[in-house]
Amino acid sequence: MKRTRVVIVAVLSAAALLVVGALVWRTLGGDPAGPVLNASRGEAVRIQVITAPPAAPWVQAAADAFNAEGENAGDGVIAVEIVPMDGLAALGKWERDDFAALPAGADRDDLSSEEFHTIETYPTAWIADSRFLVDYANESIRDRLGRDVFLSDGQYRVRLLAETVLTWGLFRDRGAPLLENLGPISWSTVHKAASAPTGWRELGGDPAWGHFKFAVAGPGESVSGFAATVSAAGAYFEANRVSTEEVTDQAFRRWLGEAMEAAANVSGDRRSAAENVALFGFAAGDGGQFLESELLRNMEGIQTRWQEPMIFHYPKVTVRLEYPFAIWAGGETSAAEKNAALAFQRFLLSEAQQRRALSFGLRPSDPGVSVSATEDSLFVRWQRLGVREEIPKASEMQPPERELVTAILRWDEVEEAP
Amino acid sequence: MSGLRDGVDRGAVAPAGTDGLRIPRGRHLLAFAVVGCFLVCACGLTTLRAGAWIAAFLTDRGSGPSSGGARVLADWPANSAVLTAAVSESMAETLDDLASEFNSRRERTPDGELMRIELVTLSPREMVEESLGQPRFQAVAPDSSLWLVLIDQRWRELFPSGEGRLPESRVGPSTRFAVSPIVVAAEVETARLMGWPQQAVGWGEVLGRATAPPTGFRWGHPGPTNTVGVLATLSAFYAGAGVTRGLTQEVALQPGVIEYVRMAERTALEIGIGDDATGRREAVAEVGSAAEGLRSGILDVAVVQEQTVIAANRSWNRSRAGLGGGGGDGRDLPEGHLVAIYPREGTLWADHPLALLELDGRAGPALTQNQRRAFRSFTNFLLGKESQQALLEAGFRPVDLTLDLHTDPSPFAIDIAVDPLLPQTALPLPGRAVMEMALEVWRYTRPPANIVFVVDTSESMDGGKLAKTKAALHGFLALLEGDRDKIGLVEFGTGVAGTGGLRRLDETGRRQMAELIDRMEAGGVTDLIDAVWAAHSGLQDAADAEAINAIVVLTDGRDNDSERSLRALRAAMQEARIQVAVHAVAFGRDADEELLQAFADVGGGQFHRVDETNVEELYRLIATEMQGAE
Repeated sequence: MKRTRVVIVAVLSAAALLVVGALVWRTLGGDPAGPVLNASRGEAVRIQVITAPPAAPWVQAAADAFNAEGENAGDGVIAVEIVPMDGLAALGKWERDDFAALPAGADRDDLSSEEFHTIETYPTAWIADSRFLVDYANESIRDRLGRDVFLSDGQYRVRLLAETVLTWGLFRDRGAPLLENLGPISWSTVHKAASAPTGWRELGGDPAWGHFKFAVAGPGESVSGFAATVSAAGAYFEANRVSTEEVTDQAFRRWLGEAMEAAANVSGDRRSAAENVALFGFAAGDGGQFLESELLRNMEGIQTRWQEPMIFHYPKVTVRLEYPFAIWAGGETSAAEKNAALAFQRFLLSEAQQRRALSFGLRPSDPGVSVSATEDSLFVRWQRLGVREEIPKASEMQPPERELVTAILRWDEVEEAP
Repeated sequence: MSGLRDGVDRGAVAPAGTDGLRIPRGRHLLAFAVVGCFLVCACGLTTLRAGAWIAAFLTDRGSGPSSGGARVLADWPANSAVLTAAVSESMAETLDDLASEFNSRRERTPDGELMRIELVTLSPREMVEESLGQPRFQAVAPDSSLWLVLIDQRWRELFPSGEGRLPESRVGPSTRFAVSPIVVAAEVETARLMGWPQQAVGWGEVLGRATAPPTGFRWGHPGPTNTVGVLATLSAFYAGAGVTRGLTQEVALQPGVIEYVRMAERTALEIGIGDDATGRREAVAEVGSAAEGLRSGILDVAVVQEQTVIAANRSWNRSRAGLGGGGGDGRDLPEGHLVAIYPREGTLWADHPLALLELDGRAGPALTQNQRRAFRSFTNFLLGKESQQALLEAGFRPVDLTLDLHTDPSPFAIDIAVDPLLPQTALPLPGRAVMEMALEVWRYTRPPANIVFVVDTSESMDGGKLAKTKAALHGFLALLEGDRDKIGLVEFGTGVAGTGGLRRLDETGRRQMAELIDRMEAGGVTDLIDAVWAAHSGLQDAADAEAINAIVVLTDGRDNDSERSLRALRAAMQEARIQVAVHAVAFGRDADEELLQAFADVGGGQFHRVDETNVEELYRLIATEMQGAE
């Protein structure tokens, strides 16, 4: 009897010890994740914001600062999660309904727990590369669901966050002979340089440099690559707006194919021309067409790694990307989540964050914040290498029509045009 | 003694003075039951968690990245935060260290799941193939982004998007975490003999020396299963065409170019492959790695990533220092050091991306939100200062541009065998058609093949077996593209019947072979050795030493009627002028596996065991083996 009791007590004690031990282990073992990742469900209003990669460094830094402030959206502290995604990839996902929106007429409150799980991580907001992408996504979804999801007016309307433009850049020592021989850099200059049979030998540079090489993002690989193709078409047709017929014109394709002979593809990834030049140097390009913000962010790295600076040259006609913040207005996200997105939007548009954008090479959308407003502005820092404070509004390509987007994205072999 | 009796007894003998503490028997049992249930549940949970933790612990520290051979079922729970990434061999060791470091941080997702990175080592080409189905991984880290492009191109062919729709991608977000240019590595003395460093050395010089018969100059590169192998092959196309850009399929298919590539590839030793029957492959197996091949004198130059040169020199310095020899501080180039030659015409870059696959659930479990979070978290970790510094120390060029390559302690500043300001030119990736040619270069460069099928048409093959065999033979013929190969057929059932010797696989030959295969009928006995003898004799009569000569023999039974013995056949094969490989296939459980294995051994071929379900696949395998061999 006594022995049995002792055994029972011993077993129960051992089990209790195990439980306590496990709890102590978990407590002491700790989860050293950051404050955002540590927050458990129910304590936070968690929102996902799909963000265009060129704006992502600034937006991520802002999200970190915003999360640290611990703003409360009523149902809990807001936690913003940034999901970098190119605008063309995101447009495809919205159009194909890859995020799995609720069917027309379905109500979030009527969902089973399983159904609810599928929309738990539905994107609350989208920072696209350009406004036209948001408009095309909205049109496509409206056709499917019969309602607008990215609004043009009201509380949740789309607001522009910051801007950047396409610009030329040339390595200093290579740009000098090129400009001297062919004149100011343009798509026409690029075409002539690319067509030079002996390359730098006849372009006035060092023959050891080989052929003229030109960094540009791939047309179907990112919005900046798409924009570069649109700008080439604008230069070829001498127009601020190009049609699908013009871009698919055989003569234009042949001309662009010849120019693209110089577009060295050295690794397979052509999403960011500036990053390629920074990583691969002269092998990726003696110069190129870049997003101003990406080139500004890479200027110091280019100079450090390749020991030669890149000089800015602005085109006569450029493409402007304006990074709109669009809040999903559908029933897939709760009112608290929408309000959290709105709070984050306000945060990004605050003067402090608009000024912060300057250190990421982005032009603030707030007209009250000039590009030279801060000491750490990259525009100030690289002014001596040709960065301009103002871009004339008149010299911009107009947004492309929807069919043009598909036409260019399916134009895989632009370099091998007949 | 039962518990109940125990309880009764306990109540009966309780000492005086303890009544106030006693619990009535019913409540006593109830309390025990409740507490017991709780503890059992708690213990069970704890045990499960402890088991999982121990398993995770052992997996984490007890093993490196698993090899590609061990396939596991691709499945994971809906909230899984375990991200499995396929990594290429050149980055496997470094990434494994980084993944272990990441895992030790024990980061959790918002819903409390432990984020974990697991690695499996595969060639980039294997990653492409597996990514198109339901892979065992959710992310890939090939040695170059060109493989990501290939995944998407093939994915879009499999699942074309509708009219007016944007094309779909299998590859999701990706980030490069290190880069390394592809160079020609040589020992210092060899490099100097080629003119380095006074004059720029190009692919043309390397391949010119390799293809010049009297010099015995040997170059090595991996097969086109990774970026280095692809570039080496492309360099031969470029050099053969005499261009440094604009390499189109039309140019690459010119007979002069193909002949140049054939010569270049025939002089190349393939680095990092296993053993093989021919003497040439045995030499290759000895190479092991590029550095070993260069130092042992088997290779004069090897195509590698720049990082390989840095790692090899560091390892050489350590071993010399250990021996008390002059390891040097790297300021000069001691004997045995490798140098990186950046080809004059340009080169490609290994840009080491980590990419998430958009597994949408159509062929298995979909990518989970937590796996996406684990990917983002691991990516941020790889781009962090400490990881980037580790990659630099391993000899890669980090993507963090604030890390200076030009000053100590950067290995680029220490090892003057590499130059961080090079390369200055590019050998661009050609369009897809030429890329596919490079990936399948063996089709263009292998010698022609003379193959005799020895097919059992004895009575036991009647029905499904023979029908399957016929289908497999038709498939085999389809695999042999072009018209350079010759095929023969020997049936054995009612005696041994040759079918008119070798036929060239031109249009007429293909049609005739197809008819012969269709006409095969089952019946009679199994005179297997005589049949192989006949096939072997036919190949000897053809006396084509420049071709691959092979016999593929398939049977489901045992030899019961041959006039010749195995000993006689073995002797004849060993003494023959023309070397013939025998690939032997046992069809079903009654086949004489011992005899078939003996055929394969003496003929330097392979023995396979199949049933009706995989005979076609087997023929594909043998065809590939033969076409890959020289």
